[in-house]
Amino acid sequence: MKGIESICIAAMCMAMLSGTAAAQDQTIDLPNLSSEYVKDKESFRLAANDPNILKEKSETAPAATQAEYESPLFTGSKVHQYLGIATVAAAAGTFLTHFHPCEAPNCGAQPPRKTNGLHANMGKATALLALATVASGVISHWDDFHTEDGISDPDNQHVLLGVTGAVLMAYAINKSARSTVPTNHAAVAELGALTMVTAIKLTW
Amino acid sequence: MMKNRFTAALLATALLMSGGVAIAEEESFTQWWFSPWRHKEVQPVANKVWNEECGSCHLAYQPGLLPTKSWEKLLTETALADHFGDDASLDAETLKEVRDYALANAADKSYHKRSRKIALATETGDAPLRISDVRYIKRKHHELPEKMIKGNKDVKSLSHCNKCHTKAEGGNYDNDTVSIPNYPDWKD
Repeated sequence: MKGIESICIAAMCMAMLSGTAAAQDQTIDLPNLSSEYVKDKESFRLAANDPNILKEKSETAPAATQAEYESPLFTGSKVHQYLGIATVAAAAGTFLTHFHPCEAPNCGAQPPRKTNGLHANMGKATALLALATVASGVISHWDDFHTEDGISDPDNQHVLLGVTGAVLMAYAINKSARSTVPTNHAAVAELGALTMVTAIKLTW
Repeated sequence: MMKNRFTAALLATALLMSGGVAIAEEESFTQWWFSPWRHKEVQPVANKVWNEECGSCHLAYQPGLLPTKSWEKLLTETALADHFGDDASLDAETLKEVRDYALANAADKSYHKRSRKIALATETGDAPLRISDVRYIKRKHHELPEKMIKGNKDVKSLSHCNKCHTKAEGGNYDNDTVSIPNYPDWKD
């Protein structure tokens, strides 16, 4: 149980961490990009080995070269990605650890229903990871969702399916956790997990 | 019961992996759907002639950055004779190869996410002749102040994608790979 709590705390920390990488300045004067196009005739002349441009180039100071850029390991976008993958992995683990009670007449005495076993705890961790994934997505990708792009936009589809999947999984897990008798929650949880996998695939 | 579940999980993994092996230059929907490889960005250039001819003057922009209707307008003898003010004429054979490659890999033919977004943004209206004129590209850059692009001596123009998109040659335009020269803290 302590391990599950640690996962939950780590998931929340990662969701919060993603916010620190998503802050962006707002500018009032938005440039018209089409006017910013500059014809790079110099490059054409260079390609053609124009002697004049080669002379000009040798007289000018060399442009500052950028060192090999290494993308940071933790950014808002990457945290969202890691949480999404962790959610699917936890959902798969929850599926693999479920115990299906025997309902045939010759089954004998069945063990009592566990609401604190591995399957139950993995389910809870899945729900928390799913919610953390949604939270980190809202924080780090808020500007990728545009209603005017319509339902066929892959980012819009990702948002709709991702949120739906997380809600379905959370609903199924909550339904089972609050019940004292076995509940039919597997289908809803599996549908939620599949919806989330589809959401990931669309923008993978 | 447990054994069956593991078999199902193994089968699902094998199915996903086999999708990746089947990746061809022109992917089908099924190949894309079952492929475990990332399709988030733009299909990298995989044509030597394209790389040599286009890349000799500027970044060899991936065909997935513009829709078919744009490449159809850009890659003609007449259009290349006046390619944004310069003569970029090609012989007939080279032009055919370059044109065929662009049309087969244009944004509306690709399953890569960024290309799909470009295809959607250019579905209606006139064909954009510049990548920086695509609505989606404009929106992605509209918060950048002029001083970081036009006023930046090491960038000068949005058409120089690879000045800031450090992995542009490989078709990766992700935010996490952006480093604007002279503005290391551009995100702040």
